[in-house]
Amino acid sequence: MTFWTAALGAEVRFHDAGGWRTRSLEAGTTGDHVVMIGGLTGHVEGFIHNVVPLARRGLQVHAIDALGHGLTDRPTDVTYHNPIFVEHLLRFLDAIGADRAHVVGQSLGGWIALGAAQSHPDRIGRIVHATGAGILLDDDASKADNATVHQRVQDVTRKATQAPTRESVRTRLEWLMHRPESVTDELVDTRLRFYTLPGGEAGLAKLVAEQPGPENRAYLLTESDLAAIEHEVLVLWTDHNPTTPASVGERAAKILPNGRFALIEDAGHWVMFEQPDAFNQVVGDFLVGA
Amino acid sequence: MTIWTDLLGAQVRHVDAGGVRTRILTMGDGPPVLALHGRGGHLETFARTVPALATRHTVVAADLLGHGLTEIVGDDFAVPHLAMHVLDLMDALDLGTPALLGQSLGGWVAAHLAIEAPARVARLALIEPAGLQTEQERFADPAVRAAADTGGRAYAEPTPAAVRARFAGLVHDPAAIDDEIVAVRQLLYAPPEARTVHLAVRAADNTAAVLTPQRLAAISAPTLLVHGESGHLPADVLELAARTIPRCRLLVVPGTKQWPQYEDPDVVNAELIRFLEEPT
Repeated sequence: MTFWTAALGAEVRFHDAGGWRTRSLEAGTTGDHVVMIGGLTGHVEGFIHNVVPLARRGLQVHAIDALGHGLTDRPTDVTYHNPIFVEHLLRFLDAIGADRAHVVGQSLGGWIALGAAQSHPDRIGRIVHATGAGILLDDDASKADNATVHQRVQDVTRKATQAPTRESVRTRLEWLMHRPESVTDELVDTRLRFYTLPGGEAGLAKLVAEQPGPENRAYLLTESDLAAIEHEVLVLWTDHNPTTPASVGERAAKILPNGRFALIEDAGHWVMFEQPDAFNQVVGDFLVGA
Repeated sequence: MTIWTDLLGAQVRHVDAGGVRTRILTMGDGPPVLALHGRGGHLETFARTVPALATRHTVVAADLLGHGLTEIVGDDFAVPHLAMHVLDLMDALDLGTPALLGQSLGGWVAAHLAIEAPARVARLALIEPAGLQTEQERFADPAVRAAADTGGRAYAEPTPAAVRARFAGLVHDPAAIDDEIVAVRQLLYAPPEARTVHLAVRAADNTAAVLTPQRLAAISAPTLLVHGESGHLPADVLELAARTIPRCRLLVVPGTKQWPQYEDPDVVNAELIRFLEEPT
């Protein structure tokens, strides 16, 4: 299976999201809108095995390249902290004419989803927070670990994006996976293209400096923030996540008033890519309220 | 390289063309070029063509009526009806007067439009076009009969082997066919309706649409006729067509057959770009 055959029947579109050209991989013509957003320097190809199957559940699914990512615009006149990604998500919802959408966020995408629920609760429906970022538990050990994770994410991403080669990109991608063989040549080629996009260098450098940087930590969601989010949230983790441990997700799901937790095995950070069948089942059931 | 990585930056959309949900691939910016695939084909026929042309043109590749992921509407799949759908698509996309690029059946549709709607066709690039002979003449060639049989089998039972055998008939070197294009076609042929369309395309009465010398002489658009060196078109048919179309250049691509745009994209793309930009 290649990306093209996996996405056969889906559309690839560029939307004008309030001035930011935004790439979207989408499928489904009826039902609730679902926006899927990946992690730092991720792109819609991460959801290549999810968009069509979830659309078959009766949903209008749009996986997007977040601001500064993939083939979406990479402005240099913004600060790549959580509010700008939330703003981009809201502008995307406006662009597709959706008053409200469910958000499936993986890693950084999960942080964006929670941030949007916090600042614009009426625009957001159900949330899937998969191997997510953005949660800061109160205890000191969790706080220290969170800071370490941010630093590690920045380090591995810097290594991959500064003077990128097929090898450096493959190393970065293998870090996302439980099984290194989950990284296909096609995935390496795709990401290398995005890391070397002519004219995109400045935006990418700014993104990698700012998103995992210390100032963005002001926008982490604390336990009291989580307790104030009324949305139904599925917190989804894996047994081999290289960033935050599953225990943090389990705890967050308990604090969220309408949270629940699920664990998918045999997967790393890219659970949607490594275990698409299990992911599509649990996420699809949750989104349609089954 | 895969189809996806070749086409990064392109859009894939479904648009309404005269009431028919039509799959298109679009890429680039500039004067419009519309690419039409052959019998049993789909827009991936031009996966290696679109990115090169898109550096200087707005390129659209479409699934013909009933083909690929374009909706099956009605039971008329004769060339004039396929051409009507293409005109509807041109209107829906506001393409104005594009250059038409057509392979096999797509070439026939393109030439038909150049004759019947000359104001809508800026240029005509025909790759191993169908329609230059009557079906009787065509099937007198055992190689054509064998290719048709193989194609029919791929539709009847779209196994990887059958689909690969069909593709092998399109190229000079069967090793040129990669697994991905086989997988794409297998998926597109899987629904039983796909076979219905194929049979209807074959059964269609295209007598009135045959590209006779009289009709070819009426083509006013500058034309590039592309022949794969081992292609099915007999030399005398090609040369007559090249002589009869008033502003026609013949290009023979060595080491290729029915699918030169896939088998030797570098040569074909360079020639297409040259042709599209020649002063008229």
